[in-house]
Amino acid sequence: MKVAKIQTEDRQGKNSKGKAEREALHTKLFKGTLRSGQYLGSPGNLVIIGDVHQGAEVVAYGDILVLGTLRGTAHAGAEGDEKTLIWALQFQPTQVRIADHITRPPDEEKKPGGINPEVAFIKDGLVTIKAYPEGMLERRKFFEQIMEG
Amino acid sequence: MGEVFVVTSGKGGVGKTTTTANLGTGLAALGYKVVVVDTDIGLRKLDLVMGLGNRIVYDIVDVTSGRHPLKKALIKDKRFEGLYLLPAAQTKDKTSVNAGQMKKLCEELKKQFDYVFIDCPAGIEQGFKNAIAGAEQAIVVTNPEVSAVRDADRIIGLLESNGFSKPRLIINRIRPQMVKQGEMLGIEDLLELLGIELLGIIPEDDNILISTNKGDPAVLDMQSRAGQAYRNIARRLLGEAVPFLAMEKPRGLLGRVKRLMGFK
Repeated sequence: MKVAKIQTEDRQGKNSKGKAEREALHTKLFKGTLRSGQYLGSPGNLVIIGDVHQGAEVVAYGDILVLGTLRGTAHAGAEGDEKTLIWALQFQPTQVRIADHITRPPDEEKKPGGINPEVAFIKDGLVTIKAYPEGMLERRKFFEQIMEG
Repeated sequence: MGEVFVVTSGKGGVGKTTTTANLGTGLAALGYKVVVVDTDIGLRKLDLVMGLGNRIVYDIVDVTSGRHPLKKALIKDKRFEGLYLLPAAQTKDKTSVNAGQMKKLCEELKKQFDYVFIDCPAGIEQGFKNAIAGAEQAIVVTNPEVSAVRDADRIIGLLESNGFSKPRLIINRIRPQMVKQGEMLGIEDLLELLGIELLGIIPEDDNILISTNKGDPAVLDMQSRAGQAYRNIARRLLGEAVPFLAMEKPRGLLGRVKRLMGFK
């Protein structure tokens, strides 16, 4: 509870109940690419510097950030936290799971290469995927949306 | 001391045995001492592709179990002096050999040959583990097809965690026309998905079927496009900078790959 107090006093931006608890979560940093059949889990947040290939699985109780291409399956909030998110520099997962929501991205053709950062999070009870926008105003809106949790 | 390659893929039917036979024969044709080893125990096929099926007396299990010496089991190729085949057993299965025995065998073969090619069976179980046990370098064969690619990725992950730092890729049975029409994965797509160094590209070629049935590897056929591709790969293994067969318009990534591979 002391942690929560410090957060709400010092920070000037928007904040919500329970967020401080999530911010106290351990973050696992993994440097490397996960190939098909490989699995990586974290009881907290998970940051991967590398690609996650199709057929690989990453699971976290907290948020998942892939500083690379996500083609495999990612499950954030695996313990049930719906306020988690999944972010990748190139977002082409086989399947996205947040808490007990499961979804897959639309079937549209995506170019194999490129950098199109996108984030998956739950908004109004549905898994939503938003692209990281250009422009300062759009970016503010974008951050507000994903931090709403 | 020779170099030991394992030719693997994960998925079956993509061209491991064909590649083993053709690369082995290709290097032997250039004058090297080569042995090709079939580790697909119970489902042997390398002997057929080499055209030496009716000369088998002893096999790999006879050697690893100590029953018969290696010299007796090695079959000399009917075309080349320095080319030998060590066939698999057909009446046994993959539990008849273990990784330790394979390692010992490869160490022995290294002393006698310039190149050792191990034809790995499909799968990721005992057969695969046996085949990689004595190898130093890995060649991954895949087809431009989603299930082959996923299996190839799995196998590359297993190779990397077993100490093979730089497995190299052969893309087999590519159809340039289908790639152009967007109906088949192209070279760039495959490299993007698998992320390993490209060793060679082999086009779909009816001659392969014909040559397999005859037991005459296509690498010896001057009319065969696949044969030409295998001849090029053999030279690349020797360190030569051989440009890839012109199959696609050289776009950005392919151009870069060419430079990386051929003109370092």
